[in-house]
Amino acid sequence: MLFNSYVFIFVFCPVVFFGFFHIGKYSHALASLWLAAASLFFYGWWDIRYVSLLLGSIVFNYAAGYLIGHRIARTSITVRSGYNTTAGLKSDQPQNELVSQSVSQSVSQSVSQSVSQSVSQSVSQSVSQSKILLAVAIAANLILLGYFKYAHFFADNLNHFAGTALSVGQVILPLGISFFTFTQIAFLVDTYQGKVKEFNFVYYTLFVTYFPHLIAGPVLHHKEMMPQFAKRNVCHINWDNVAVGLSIFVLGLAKKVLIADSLAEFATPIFNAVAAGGQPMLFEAWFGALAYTLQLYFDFSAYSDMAIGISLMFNVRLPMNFNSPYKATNIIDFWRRWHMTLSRFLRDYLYIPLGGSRHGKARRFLNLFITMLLGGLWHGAGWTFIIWGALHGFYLMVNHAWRAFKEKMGWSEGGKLAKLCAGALTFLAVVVGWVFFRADSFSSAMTMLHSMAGLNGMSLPTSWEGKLGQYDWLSFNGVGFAVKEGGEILTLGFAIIWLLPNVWQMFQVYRPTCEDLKESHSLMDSKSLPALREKWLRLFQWQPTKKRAWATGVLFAIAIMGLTRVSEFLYFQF
Amino acid sequence: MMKKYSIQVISAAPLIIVLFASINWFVDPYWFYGSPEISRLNKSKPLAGENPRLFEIVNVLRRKPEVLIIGTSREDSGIDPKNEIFRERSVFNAAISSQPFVESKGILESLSKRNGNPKQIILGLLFENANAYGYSLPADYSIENFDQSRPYKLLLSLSTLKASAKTVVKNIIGHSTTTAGDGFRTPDQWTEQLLIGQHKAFKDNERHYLLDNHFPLPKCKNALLLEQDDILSKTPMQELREAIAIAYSMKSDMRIFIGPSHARQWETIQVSRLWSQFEDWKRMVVQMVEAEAKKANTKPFEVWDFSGYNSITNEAVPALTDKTSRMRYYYESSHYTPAAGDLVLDRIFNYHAPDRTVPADFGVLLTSQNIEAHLAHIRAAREQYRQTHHDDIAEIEAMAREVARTKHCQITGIPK
Repeated sequence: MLFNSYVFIFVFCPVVFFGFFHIGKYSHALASLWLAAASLFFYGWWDIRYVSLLLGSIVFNYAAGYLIGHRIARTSITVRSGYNTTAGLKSDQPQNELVSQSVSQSVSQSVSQSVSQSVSQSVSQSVSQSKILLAVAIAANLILLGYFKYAHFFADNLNHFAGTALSVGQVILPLGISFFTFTQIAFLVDTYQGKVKEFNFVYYTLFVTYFPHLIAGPVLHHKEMMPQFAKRNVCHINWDNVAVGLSIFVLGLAKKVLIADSLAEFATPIFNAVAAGGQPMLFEAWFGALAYTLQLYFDFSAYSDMAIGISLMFNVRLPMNFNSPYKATNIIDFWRRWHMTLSRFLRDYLYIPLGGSRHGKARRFLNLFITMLLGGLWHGAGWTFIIWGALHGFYLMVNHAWRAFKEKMGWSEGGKLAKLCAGALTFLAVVVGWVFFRADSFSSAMTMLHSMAGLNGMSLPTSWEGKLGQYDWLSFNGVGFAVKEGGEILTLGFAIIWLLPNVWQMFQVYRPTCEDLKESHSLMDSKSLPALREKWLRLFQWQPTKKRAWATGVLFAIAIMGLTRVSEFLYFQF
Repeated sequence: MMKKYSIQVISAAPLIIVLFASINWFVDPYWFYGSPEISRLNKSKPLAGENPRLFEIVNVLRRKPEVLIIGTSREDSGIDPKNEIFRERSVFNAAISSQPFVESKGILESLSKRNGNPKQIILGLLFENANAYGYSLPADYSIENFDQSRPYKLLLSLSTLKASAKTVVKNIIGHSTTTAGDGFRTPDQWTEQLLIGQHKAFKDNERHYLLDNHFPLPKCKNALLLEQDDILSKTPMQELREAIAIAYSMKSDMRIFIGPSHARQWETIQVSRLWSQFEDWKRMVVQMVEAEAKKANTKPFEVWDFSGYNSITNEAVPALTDKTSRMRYYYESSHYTPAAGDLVLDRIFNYHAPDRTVPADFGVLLTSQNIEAHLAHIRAAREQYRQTHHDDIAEIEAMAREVARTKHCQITGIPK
């Protein structure tokens, strides 16, 4: 089920909403169960067969997490009881760190040899058991993901390069498998590190299946979600949250239906035509690439907005996922603003375990590159995604090297013009990346880039055709005529991303996401805003007034009416 | 305050939706709801012509006509449902620009599911549609158009609201529709396109066929069957076979015809070295119609061939400098006028209209018995045409050479 569907808006959401708060009057546990069951129904709407896969994955990971957690807890108790003289242990210190620290350093120095040996043996046995369990559980998750998402890709490549004849058969990619696999791997790793406190199965199921995030994120972290589900007041209707959540949902729906889908009508035929062998000219190629750049942002961020809005109506705050990424002035900044929860996941569960920046500059660059490469593969099973990831890995390396070089030379950040140029360069680099991300193959991406570089001639609007009279000489020189529609939607898109505040900025007073206020303020850097800009932003600050209620209602109606559209025939001549 | 705000949002949205839906129902830009038609307000429906796929598919499935016309834009603007042959029967022309065989099949399938079996089906065939390497659905094709709930969903659609607004504005300024309520494209749609002169219209169309249609990207191939490695989906001819089988199962009388495009159109096939494939295609059509009839245990549908070189298709084309003369039977080399379409109907229904006579050499009923003789006859007529139309042939050959140089991929049929 999609958020932008009649059945979700008119049936599912109202039923689940009223059901949750009604049941919540009597029992918190039952209300949570209702929400978990509704989430499974939401998932099963797409294909009922895959509910068992999702449930299987949940049960398996919960059991693995429980066993790991149990062993880690036992280890901790053993250590505590064996070495109650051990000083300086903090309760929030990760348990396995605590264990290894205890075993390797303090313990051997501060207690008697005989006790130390037996405890040490039992502890290290428990740790290694937990480690094996963790490794097996992560491997099982990755095998599941690998089978459903990457089996075809690997078989095709093996067949191509090694001349084998492997056949995988028809594999349907279960919706959201990347999201529920990653969130659960994070849970397992954190359990192993002793960071998990909450082991309630219903809350765990809810954390994995919670319908607002299940299909397209944000990538949730159990640490910020499970305690929210456990709060007693979560199942009491809170009209502040309902009003803010509803407004954010409406804005998200409008972004998706009115802007992203309109942009797709232009981007899709151009990329499809290129996939079919067409060679666009300069303007068409740029038009397609820019339309897709905007479409992806509006589509994805709209979905996150809708998720945040719906969740808030249920008194659960999701993490922020987009923070005006196209306003970034460098690639590092871009990745702090784009799909923020995935960046966080990749940082915590891939980049840092790989060694992060702890082993010198060269290793740091390698770790960055590997992280982005795998991040690319996570987005899709295809070489174009890997190239996209590699490209961003390369961008990040250049960005870090440039930053270090600037620091060494003692150069400042530069003035407004420098920032503008940096922003434009960053945007251009991102657009080039999206061409690989969207194209069906490497050669199609190269065709697009070739055309964007003007190497395939250029076209003029058809409306000029008559005015220029005989134009055979133009045609001979690689100039043709093509229909240019959609300029308006592209302009609107750019105006929104560059001139308007984002949804979070509009609602920040009401704290719609789970970032704490201090953290969010630093994200927005609102103190450094010039007065005029601040005034401009204040103009868009959401307030629960009657006028705004009607404006939101009208926007809601228009967005709902945008759900059914007529596919019009667009002719791109190349 | 927050509760009040939320209630206002939730109440405003349905009110606005009901208001917009009422406007859509009243203006009815696609002839879906049978709303009252008021001149200078909503009587003319220009948006139906701008979105033919939506208008024709939804309407043909709603109206369930007794006589159904399907095919491409040639039939859309050439076969008039108001022809006296159909008299008082309900007729709908659901032929649409670039209608692939899968769409024709979809219409038959959907009508069958909705118990709307037509008594009479007229199917116009286009050779280019049979290319297994040219198969792609038109950009405005939408499977949703076959959905029974489509008209109601469109009542609640912003696209329809925009269409309603445009309809009202166009009615106020006196803009007339180029599509009639029965799905027929009126000759008005050609008025503007022919301002460049008919010879230029012929040339533009022929270049388009040479450049894009005969050897479409990405493979620049034309074949009736797919090579082993390329078999991913059904070929257009398989879709056509299934469409014919459905027509037999509907117990309808289907008349199939290969359209009367102009002789110059056939020359683009010849110069692209596709002539033998063109003949194979005709053989295949006759064979599949007869085979499916045998399966259905009934007599085969009639297959008529109006292609080739005859007194209609050989009509002289005005000179390039002459921009005002208009041909009787053609808009350009591929699209024929209703005057030619009427003769097609006269021939296939053996109707004798008081004001026109069908030339004896126009239209041949094909069977597996006479097809070889018929093909040989066309080949001979072609030779004769080439002897008598040097300028036309030279012009088409020059265009073919220019296209072969321009095209991004190597065209297998045309030497550079």
